[in-house]
Amino acid sequence: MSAFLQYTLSGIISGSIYALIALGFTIIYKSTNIINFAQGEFVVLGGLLAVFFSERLHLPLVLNILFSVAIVGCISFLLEFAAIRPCKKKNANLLTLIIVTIGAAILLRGLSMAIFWKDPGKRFPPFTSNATINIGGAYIITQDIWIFAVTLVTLLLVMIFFEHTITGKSMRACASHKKAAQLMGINVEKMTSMTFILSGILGAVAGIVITPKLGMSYDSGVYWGIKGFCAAVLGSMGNLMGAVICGIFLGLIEAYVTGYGDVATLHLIQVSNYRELIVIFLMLVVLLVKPAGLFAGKETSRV
Amino acid sequence: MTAQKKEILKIIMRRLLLLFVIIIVPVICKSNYYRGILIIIGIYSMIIIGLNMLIGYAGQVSLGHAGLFGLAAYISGIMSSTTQGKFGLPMAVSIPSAIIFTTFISFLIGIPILKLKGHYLAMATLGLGVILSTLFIHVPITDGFDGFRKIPFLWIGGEDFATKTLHLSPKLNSYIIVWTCVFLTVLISENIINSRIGRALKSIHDSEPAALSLGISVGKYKNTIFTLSSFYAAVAGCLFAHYKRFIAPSDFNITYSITFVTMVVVGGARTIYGAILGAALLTSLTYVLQGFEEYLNKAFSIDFNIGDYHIVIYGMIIILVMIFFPKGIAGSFIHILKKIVRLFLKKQKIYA
Repeated sequence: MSAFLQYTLSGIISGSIYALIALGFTIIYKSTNIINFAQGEFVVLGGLLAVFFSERLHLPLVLNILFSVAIVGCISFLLEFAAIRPCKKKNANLLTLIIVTIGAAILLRGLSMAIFWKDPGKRFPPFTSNATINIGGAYIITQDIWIFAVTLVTLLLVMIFFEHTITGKSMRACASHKKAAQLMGINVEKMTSMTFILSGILGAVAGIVITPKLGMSYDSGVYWGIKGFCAAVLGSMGNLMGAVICGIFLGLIEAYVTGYGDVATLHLIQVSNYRELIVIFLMLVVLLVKPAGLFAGKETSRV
Repeated sequence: MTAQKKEILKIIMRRLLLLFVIIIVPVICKSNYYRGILIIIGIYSMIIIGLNMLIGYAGQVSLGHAGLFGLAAYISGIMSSTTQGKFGLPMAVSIPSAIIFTTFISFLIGIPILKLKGHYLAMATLGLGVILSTLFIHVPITDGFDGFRKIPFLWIGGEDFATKTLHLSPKLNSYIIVWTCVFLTVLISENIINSRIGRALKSIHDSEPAALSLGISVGKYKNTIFTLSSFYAAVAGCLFAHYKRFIAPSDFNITYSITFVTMVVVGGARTIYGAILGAALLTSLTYVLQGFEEYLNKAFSIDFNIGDYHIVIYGMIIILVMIFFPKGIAGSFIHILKKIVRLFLKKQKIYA
């Protein structure tokens, strides 16, 4: 039974990261109806920048986090300002926007490569001393608690932001109906920029918090992005709570399948090798069966 | 001359021009190095033409085409390679099998996947590409990251015939095979575009609901183009495997899928010749950067590996092209040409 507990705990932890990334996707979609293919790269950049500040400049942890988050926030603002806004001004179609965000993702991956070349698994020291905690036979490290706590706090902050602050409500208004929001005096362009900045911050936080545990390499952006996207889609694009719940759900499924997979397939297939594919496979199933996600109402669209 | 005859003349002229360029280039350029680059450009052109039809005419993004390219390469390679654990079958068996299998698989995948739209389709095909590239690494028979060797080389009419009777060097031999296939691809694709299928696709691209209401089976046409583009990619994959004689998972990863989409976009999403242009431009860019790196190394004796920074430049190119040339370079070129022609005609008051 301790194996089950171990898988459950590690699933919840990795699920928290997916939840954070999914939040990033969801927020941008909620405000602008764009899916940001560069979200995974925000995660990578956040993590690698933190490693850079820690390793090369020996800054204390708090400054690390602050600077990394600030830089990624600026980068995401630039993405919106320099790449997406011109396209929207020229009334670009969906395909163009998709390709632009893909191009930005490639660019950012190149940037990540510039920081630390292709070294895999760069790390910096965990937030507090790295003790292993034994919970009923399952082991977690102190960083895991930080990951979970950060995700919870972030979720709370984001929900408070969207429900109870004027800015948050303005963002939701922009998502709902741009022209009406403009008529109400909301500066839609500013809101869009802020959305991107917020999403960048979320991605960076996710990256920073996971790097001491798992390490970060320049090319893991695609994987983080896909997992976060899957969680966001499963939880219905645009639904904050759904994104978080499904993020954790995904983490759990991944942990269980990886853990029990070898036994389940009678050792025929080395399931741990295909760990990344579990989430992708799930995403494909979700997209094909219920693209609206688990939390959606009836779907309508104007034709 | 009637307008129709003019159209036909234009099409024939373009094809002759392409044929001329294809024939003349290896005559001018006898260097093996450049011929090698041209062969790679040719192989990628086949994929890009198919992808171009898919993105430009059918309006469906596919970020997983490198996976299909690799699937055919791996199947044909595994079946024909003579290293340990592989089957050593003749290419006459392995190549058709690889092409048929890959095309069939993509047909099956296309049925559910093409029901998705926009972002969701992009993500789904991205996922597909990741699945395939992970399989290339981990499925035991593929020999993992390092790939495997000793795939037989494809000669025209067999090794003896090509070397002794036709006196072909290996590079020239492959060049002829690859570019003949490219030319055939262009012919087939142009025929499809100018046919009922092509017109249906254009209507789907412009407005899917309207096309549906006119009785066009949108799903069937989308799947047809998807399968066709996979067919091209499969053929390209086989040519690739039997030219390079050695394949590894790193030739078919997500970066390549994205590169292919870049080539389509840069060349022009609705022009067949633009596809070849896009493939040529971006492939040359990689080699130019490599040469630049060597120059820097020699001039300043630094070991600066610029080889992978091309992805940064690719990213910038995508963004800039999409902002300033949404129709791609060839597409915009044609657009501007049409404008000039119309202006000219306007002056002569020829149009009604």
